[in-house]
Amino acid sequence: MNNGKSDFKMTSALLFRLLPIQVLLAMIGAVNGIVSSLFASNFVGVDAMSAVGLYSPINLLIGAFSTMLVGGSGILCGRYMGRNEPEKMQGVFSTDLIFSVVLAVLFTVLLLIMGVFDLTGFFTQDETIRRIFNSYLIGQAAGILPFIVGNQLSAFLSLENKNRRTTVASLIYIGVNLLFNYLFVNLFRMEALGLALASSLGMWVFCIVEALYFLQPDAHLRFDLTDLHLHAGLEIAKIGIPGAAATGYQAVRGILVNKLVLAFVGGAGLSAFAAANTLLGFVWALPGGMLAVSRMLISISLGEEDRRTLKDVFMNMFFRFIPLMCALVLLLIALAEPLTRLYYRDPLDPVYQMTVWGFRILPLCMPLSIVCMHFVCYGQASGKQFLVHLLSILDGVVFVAGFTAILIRFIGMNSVYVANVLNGIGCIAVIVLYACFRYKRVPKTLDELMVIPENFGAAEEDRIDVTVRNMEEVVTVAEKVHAFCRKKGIDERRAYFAGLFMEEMAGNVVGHGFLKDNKKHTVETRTVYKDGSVILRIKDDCIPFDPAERKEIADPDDAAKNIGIRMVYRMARDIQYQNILGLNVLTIRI
Amino acid sequence: MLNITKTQNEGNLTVKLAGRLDTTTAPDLESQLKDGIESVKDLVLDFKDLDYISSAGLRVLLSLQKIMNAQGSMKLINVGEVIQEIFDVTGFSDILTIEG
Repeated sequence: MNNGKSDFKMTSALLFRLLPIQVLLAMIGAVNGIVSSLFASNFVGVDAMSAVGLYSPINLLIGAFSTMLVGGSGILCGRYMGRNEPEKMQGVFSTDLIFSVVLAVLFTVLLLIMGVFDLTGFFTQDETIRRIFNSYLIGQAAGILPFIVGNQLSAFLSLENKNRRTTVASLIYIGVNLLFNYLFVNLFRMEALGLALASSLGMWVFCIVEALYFLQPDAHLRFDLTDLHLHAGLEIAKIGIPGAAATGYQAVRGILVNKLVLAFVGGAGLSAFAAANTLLGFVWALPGGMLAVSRMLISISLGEEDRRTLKDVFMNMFFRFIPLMCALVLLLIALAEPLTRLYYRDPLDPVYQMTVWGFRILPLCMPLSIVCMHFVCYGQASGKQFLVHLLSILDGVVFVAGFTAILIRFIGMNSVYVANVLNGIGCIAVIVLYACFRYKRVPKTLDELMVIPENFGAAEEDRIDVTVRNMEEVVTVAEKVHAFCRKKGIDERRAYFAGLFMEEMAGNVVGHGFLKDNKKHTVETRTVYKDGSVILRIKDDCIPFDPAERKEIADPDDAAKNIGIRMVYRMARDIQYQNILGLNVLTIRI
Repeated sequence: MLNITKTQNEGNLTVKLAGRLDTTTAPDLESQLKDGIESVKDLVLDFKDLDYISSAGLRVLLSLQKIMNAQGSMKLINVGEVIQEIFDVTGFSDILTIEG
């Protein structure tokens, strides 16, 4: 039996199992951007690329509000899931969707007014670019509602373990987007309007495919217009605002940096940055996906007060995610020129070299960003509001805009790229300094770096965590549980039952769950002593199985059929089963 | 760990169990008792020193009871409080003969 390493492996395996779909989800917006930018630069013109670049901060701003809802509702649902409160999850689901629709309608109207009445002088004074930009805005307005609602549905589909549907929706979206771009831009020559309409229509298809799941009878989450809880909405906003504020600040940063680039470098700089940024947006899907899977486990770990899993998420980030990201960064740097040639062909054109350097320097900030994003996510979920707000402002605006403003006179367009890397270094320094400030010294452990409260989760002496792989280990852990309970002063009868329930339920997993497929499995067991009670948690990665299905099945010819499960269900004070992110989680209270 | 002490007197077999009758020890009990059980008419299982029984042990008891129903009798003696409670909850107290 081994405790620490096996828990980490299960957490790591889970994170990597969930990663592809989250990366795919994060790629949707990026694919949209890349397709648009490729069609813009190759079939419409360089000015169209400027329009794409000008729209980017607006997209970020809308994305910020969507992120607020996704982040807040995701963390809240994860918390309720950890506490086993499904009715509250329903309320969060409906409330979140209602808020999403209202928000989307507001933004749609705003963009239409700006585009139709030429109210975009703030973004650029160039008449040609503004005309194109206005058309682009009108086309994008059509896709705001499915963009925001689709993002929410993706998160809830993940919680329902229906990521395959999101994969299908994503693939359909990509295909539809490409088709409509070809039709509207190539065939009908609708230029910027066609570019934007293509992605908007693709987004509608994506959203509809996802929404259809929640109309099916087997969906756990159901939309109910009357299930609007304003307090839940406020809670979603409160939790989600720091994360959304970060994106909002990035929108401000985008506007500031655009203005600096236009003033010191010119339109070529804007086009170069748009090209590098848009294509790298595709690669940002990987850190984005990493954060999405980590966020799920972080919020559930906090709900369950599971210190070990929480730390394992961060260990996985340091020792799995970051090395993977670094390898990808090296590849991107090596491919800087080929990637540039997708947009611009003439090496003598200033925009070409600026784009090449963009691909060489910008990727360096990605591993740094992974660290920063994880700490921000944990800070959001655990209520470290000061740190989250501080990082939002520094990461979102101050560092990048500030370093750009300082360096642009000396190194031109490269200042924007270098500023992004310096931003990552600065944010990590702030995270470490925060921990130093809290402990009045340099943090020595991961717990201290994360500033995990000492009273979080059960104290070491009040719990035992054991991973089991075979029946011998099941029996051994049952004996350990019995001995642990007696040591805590639990009477012999309840100590006996604690050991017995552990043997019966963990034994069922090993004896039956392990044999259902050809994969290697483990069972994580946890026994917690809390306020005179004993809580057993048995977590496994076998196929979904709710033992309650068998508690009533008795065979008159075989009194021993399902006897273990029946015994536990009759004698335990409380038993709860959940399937969380593909893991069977059984909690027994004695 | 399970200690099994058998005392046979012609058709009467008394088996003292000490320790834990769980998933890993139940097969051992089953194989030791079923070997040569054909000649036993009265089987007595003494639970005085048995600290623990799980569903695996219950299955072995049920299996032995079915055999002894066909050729004689089986009873359990000196059953502890908690184990008795398990027999009651599972309905095994209606199937097994429990004395003292």
